[in-house]
Amino acid sequence: MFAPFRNVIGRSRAAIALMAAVLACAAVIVPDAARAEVRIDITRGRVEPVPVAVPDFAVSSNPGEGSDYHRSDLAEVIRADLERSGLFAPINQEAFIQDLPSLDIQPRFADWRAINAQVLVQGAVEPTPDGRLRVAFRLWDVFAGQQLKGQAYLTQPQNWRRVAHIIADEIYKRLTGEDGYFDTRIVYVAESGSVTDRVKRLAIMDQDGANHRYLTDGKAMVLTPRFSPTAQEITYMSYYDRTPRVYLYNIDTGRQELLGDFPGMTFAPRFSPDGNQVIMSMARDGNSEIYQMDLRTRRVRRLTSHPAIDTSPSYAPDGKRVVFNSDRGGSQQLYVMNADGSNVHRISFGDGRYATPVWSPRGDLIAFTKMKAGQFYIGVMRPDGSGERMLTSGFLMESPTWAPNGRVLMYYRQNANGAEPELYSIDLTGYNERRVLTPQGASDPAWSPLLP
Amino acid sequence: MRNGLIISLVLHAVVVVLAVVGLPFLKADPPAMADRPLIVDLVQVGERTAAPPPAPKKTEEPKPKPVEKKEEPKPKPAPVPPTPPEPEPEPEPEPEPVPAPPPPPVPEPEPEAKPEPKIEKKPEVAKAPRPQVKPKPPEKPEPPKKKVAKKEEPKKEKKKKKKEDDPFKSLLQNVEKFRDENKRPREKEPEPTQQAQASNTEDAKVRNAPVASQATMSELDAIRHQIEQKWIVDPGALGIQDMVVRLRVLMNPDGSVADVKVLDTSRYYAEPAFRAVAESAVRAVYKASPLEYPPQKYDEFKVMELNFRPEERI
Repeated sequence: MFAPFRNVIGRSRAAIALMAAVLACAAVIVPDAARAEVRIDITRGRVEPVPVAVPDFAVSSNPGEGSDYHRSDLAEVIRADLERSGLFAPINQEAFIQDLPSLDIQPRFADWRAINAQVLVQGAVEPTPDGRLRVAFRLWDVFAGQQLKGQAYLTQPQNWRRVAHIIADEIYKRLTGEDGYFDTRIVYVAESGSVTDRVKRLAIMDQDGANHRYLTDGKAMVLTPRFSPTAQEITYMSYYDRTPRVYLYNIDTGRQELLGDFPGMTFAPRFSPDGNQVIMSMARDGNSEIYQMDLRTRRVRRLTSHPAIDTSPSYAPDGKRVVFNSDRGGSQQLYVMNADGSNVHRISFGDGRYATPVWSPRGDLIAFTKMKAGQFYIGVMRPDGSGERMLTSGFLMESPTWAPNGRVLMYYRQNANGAEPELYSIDLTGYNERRVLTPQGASDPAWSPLLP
Repeated sequence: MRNGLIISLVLHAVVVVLAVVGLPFLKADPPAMADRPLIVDLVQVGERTAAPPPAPKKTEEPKPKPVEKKEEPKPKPAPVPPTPPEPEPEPEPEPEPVPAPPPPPVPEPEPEAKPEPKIEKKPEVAKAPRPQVKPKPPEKPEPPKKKVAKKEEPKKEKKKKKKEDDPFKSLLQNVEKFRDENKRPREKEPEPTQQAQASNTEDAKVRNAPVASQATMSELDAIRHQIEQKWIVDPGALGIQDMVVRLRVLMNPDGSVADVKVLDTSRYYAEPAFRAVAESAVRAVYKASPLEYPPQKYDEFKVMELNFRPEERI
């Protein structure tokens, strides 16, 4: 009965191959049969913070040693960071339904959906035998029911704050696709004293205001501090000996050195993105021009040559272009040129005066100060000059500085004559303007890069 | 020989499978509902977003009117001659009930004199070879007259007799006729519905199908609104103004979302900013579940493609 089949199978390998081809064709075509009949365009959404749930970290070993290993401190710092960014809204712990006593316990997503959390941060901290702390977390997408990220860190117990900021950065990066900015520091000029006898000192603090300390003693006036993008160094201007000069200050060692003894006044130094050059403006023979100095060779190179005032230079994140302000066009406006000084072209054309341009580390925007009709504005525009937008305005505000992810701006503002200047931060979309608390008056903020 | 037979069978099978599975894809695109003009009208959805079919009874109303109206001028000049021609053309209009109803409802509300020459042309075109000289007026009313021949005959006779008395009476009669017209459809309803169904079988596909099975603009808008309410978008994300996230959503009959898939998988894995926006879109769909949609059109809505383009916020 099976004889004919044997013949068939033995001889028609080609037929079998063709059958396979037929099935392959069908298999390719058939899944596509679920063609969408309905196509809808969604062009609008809501601009509001994403609700996140950050319960206190679980402690996975016996807490009877008198320390809770910062389980609630860690969660509190993370919550504060996420909330300060304006993109997330932490949910009050009182509303939580499920308890998560350990990282091994799977969250019951229905419980978290019920309180409208879209994202859940489950964390745990435990001491290691050698006296360090092991901090771990899992990031859950509540609606999809899956883990987005998981990470563990080993650190000295006194570094718990940095670990919290690092975890917040990881969460931010996973949820927005961009680098975070929470593990950073702010250096600024702390002002105190009367209007006629101002004391200005350099101060540094974490971006959330913690770990504040002073770097100089206030005997000499200091201005415009700037962070190096690669090393723990700051450049700033100081009127030591009544001569304004640019200095380099190493935060870790406290060492200070003179960047150069230049004849004439030097102003507004900034680092290049690779950390090897410093760009600044120097006033010589009554003319202010832009100069670039190589930090390794200490060679100085002049970039602009024009009788007008050229000052406040800032590098683009790729180091190939520089934005600065100049009044060569008749009024104080913004100009962009190549890093070697060629191709100077104007990018701002509005009424008023433009000053202190800063190129965003993301490369897509330039922030600046604008003065018009007695009001001060902080604004952004694209590097070609289009899309000019004012983010905020006030009696006096100046010197915007970008967070290392190019998303948040910090600046200082003074609300009236004789009032203390204060630090403020704002998102590049113009939302979420916040006061940054400092012990005294504060001006000239500079944002550090992400700490290594 | 066996080899050849098997190869032949296999190739035939290939052709059959491709024809069954592949050919539909070569043919139709989904109906371009988005191109339909928006009719802004605060009334019932289903009837308005598709072209409203004229109510069957209304098609019947005007038919008796031209019958009567034509009857009036006709008897005046030559009461006798029109009547014989009428039975003759009558058999001819029989096969043309379909084109006739559309012309009569259009001119009906207007005074007879003007529209008649216009609409006459339509039946004339329909029935090409015809003696045109005098019986032009009777040509048009004949097709409708045929349908209502039964009931109209006695009334027609009655009215003809009346009009012969007094020419002015026709004007007055019109008003009364309008009133009678309005009353008559109620009596005639059982008949015209049958007639309407007969005539509408061909039109049914044109007029009733859109309402029955296609997605209407307002239903799409309802789903769009539900998802827009739940989509949290960050306007400061890098490159957001050019981003388009396409999702394929599979829905269960009760409106709950069974599966959501991001269609640009290469970009999803390569660009973290795109992935973040895509995830926010997926979250929005899950949060909006269960979706509200017309359950009778489940086959249309079961697979949806959503394009998230956050252009309007920027």
